[in-house]
Amino acid sequence: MSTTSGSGGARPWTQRIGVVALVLAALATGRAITHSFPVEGRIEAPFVRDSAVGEPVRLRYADVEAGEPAGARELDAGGTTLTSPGVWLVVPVRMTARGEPRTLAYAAVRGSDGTLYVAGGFGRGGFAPGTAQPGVPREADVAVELPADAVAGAHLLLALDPDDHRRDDLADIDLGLTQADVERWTDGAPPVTFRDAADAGATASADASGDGS
Amino acid sequence: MPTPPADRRALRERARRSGSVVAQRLLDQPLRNLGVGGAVALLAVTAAFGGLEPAAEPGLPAVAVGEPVEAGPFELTLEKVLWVDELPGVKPGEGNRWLALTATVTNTSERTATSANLRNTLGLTGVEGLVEPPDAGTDRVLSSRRLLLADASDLSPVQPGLDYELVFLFEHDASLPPPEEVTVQVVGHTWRSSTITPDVAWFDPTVVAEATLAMREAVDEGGADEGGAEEGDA
Amino acid sequence: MSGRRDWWRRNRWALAALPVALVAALAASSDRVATYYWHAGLHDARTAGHGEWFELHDEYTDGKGTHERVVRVRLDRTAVLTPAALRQVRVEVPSGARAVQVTLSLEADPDLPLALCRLALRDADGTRYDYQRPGAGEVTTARPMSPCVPGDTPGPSESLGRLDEVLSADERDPRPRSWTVEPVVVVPDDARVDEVLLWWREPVYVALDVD
Repeated sequence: MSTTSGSGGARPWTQRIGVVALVLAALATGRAITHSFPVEGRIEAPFVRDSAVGEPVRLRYADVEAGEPAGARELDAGGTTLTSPGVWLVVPVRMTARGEPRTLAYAAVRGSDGTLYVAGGFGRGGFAPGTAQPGVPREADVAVELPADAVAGAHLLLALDPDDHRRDDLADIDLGLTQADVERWTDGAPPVTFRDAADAGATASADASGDGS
Repeated sequence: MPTPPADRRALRERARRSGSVVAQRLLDQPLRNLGVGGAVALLAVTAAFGGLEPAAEPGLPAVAVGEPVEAGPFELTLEKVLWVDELPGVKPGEGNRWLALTATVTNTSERTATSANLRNTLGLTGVEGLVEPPDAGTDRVLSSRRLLLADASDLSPVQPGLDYELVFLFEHDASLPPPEEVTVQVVGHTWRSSTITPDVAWFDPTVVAEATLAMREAVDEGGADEGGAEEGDA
Repeated sequence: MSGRRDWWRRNRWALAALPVALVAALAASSDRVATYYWHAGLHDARTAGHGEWFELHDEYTDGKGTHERVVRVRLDRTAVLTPAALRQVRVEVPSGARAVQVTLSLEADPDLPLALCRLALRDADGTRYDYQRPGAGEVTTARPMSPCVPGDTPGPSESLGRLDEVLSADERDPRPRSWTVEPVVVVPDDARVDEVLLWWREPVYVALDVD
């Protein structure tokens, strides 16, 4: 056992050097470990659930399914026509909340160039599905404008929180778009419609025929 | 105030007994040396944080009509500087007119930008009679609306990689004569994380270009243009 | 070896204190559990049996400080609305879903702010089906702005401190001492509703048995 120093700090200098060296070695090892394994990104990464058009994907908070995308240079939103310098891409989404009512607030198109074209909550196009009651499917459109050369191979991303996707589920849906689709859409296709969100199969109460449900 | 000799000795004794090398070094130094050494250490630390970089040079490049200006996250090219009493479908407030600056704006970053980012990019200074107050902490007034020329919609969000032709509208008191010239400031921002919260956004508004430009009334260019268009239609 | 036994004896108090220290350390660093978990959801259940009156004692804080909230509530009944009844109350129900009308009786002091409440149905799996507030132009008796106070006489709002002077006074009649509400909640056809949940301030909520 090493003798603890009394008054006067009489530890031999070899021991002191040894302690300093051990501390420095520990610091250096720690730094080497944290730098060779970049865990920051992985610890905080979302849980990405891949899917394709027409395939429902189960997320923690909802089941979502993307329908056939459509596109054109012009978007018909509630009677107003919006023109884009690029191309409007509209994807219908059907979502069924799980566990409690959910308001999905994030939709983005990842173009073939890797850029995320995020749908706003308001403004031109966007994604505003409102609150989905569990078990009652809700339908809403995602409308995003993007450069025509980013459309082929684009993916649709959907998530619950508008900004923070750490450690939660995120749907990544391959839209199956090709250059042929883009050419069709930019070559004088009629305006594509952007519908308001609604519960799937919503019927006007005045016309409801008793269907015994 | 220098510590009296008796206290200094007691202090050194305690430091030595504590075994702390740092304490001993500090206390064994006459105070004069510590001052210089401390100053050098301080400068060294500041250097590590960029404190020794040259200060920004004075004098801003001029923004000329038709020349693109980099103003993060946008590239902005001014086209026309006009005033108009009314625009179809877009009314200014009672007794006001619009000062309209048309421009082509491209989001050259890799992130969708917001309407607020766009608003912060262009301002007017030195113009009497602008209805909106200047942006907090500056003397420039920002636009009230930003409309896409093709469909007169408010441009929001601003997606990357698209060339938007739009007009920045500023409300101006119509009881005053329309200005003959306006000073335009183009403002760029930096993408960084906030110093207080974990948010990342476009911060640090900095004027990257400024110029005083002549403003004229928006006149309908009908007649000759219409004739040309009809000929062109096959 | 006696050395080892000596070690145990010398360190007995420290060892005894070790589990206490561990618990204290965990507790000290778990203040976020309160904010991000306990207060951020329905965790403090106050349950009542079917058809029984339940008296809720809770607190709320507004612009004028912290006050007591005492409300008595009873679940009178829940009923699935027929298509004819749906037409009468002008409620739209998508296919694959049905509308459940919840009849509640409540008693409270007319001066107590109660309008900011939330109502939900919960099934045996724990899935929660919320009462969804209508848009501004779509308020009806079956879809009121607030599911727990009468539409015409909702009673006072929580104080906003000095802002109260700026707001125009509510000129409606005071809320009665006891009243009944009948909000309608849309649930999927296959939901087996177990409880009616009513809450003002998380984590406290009242769970009323349906059967």
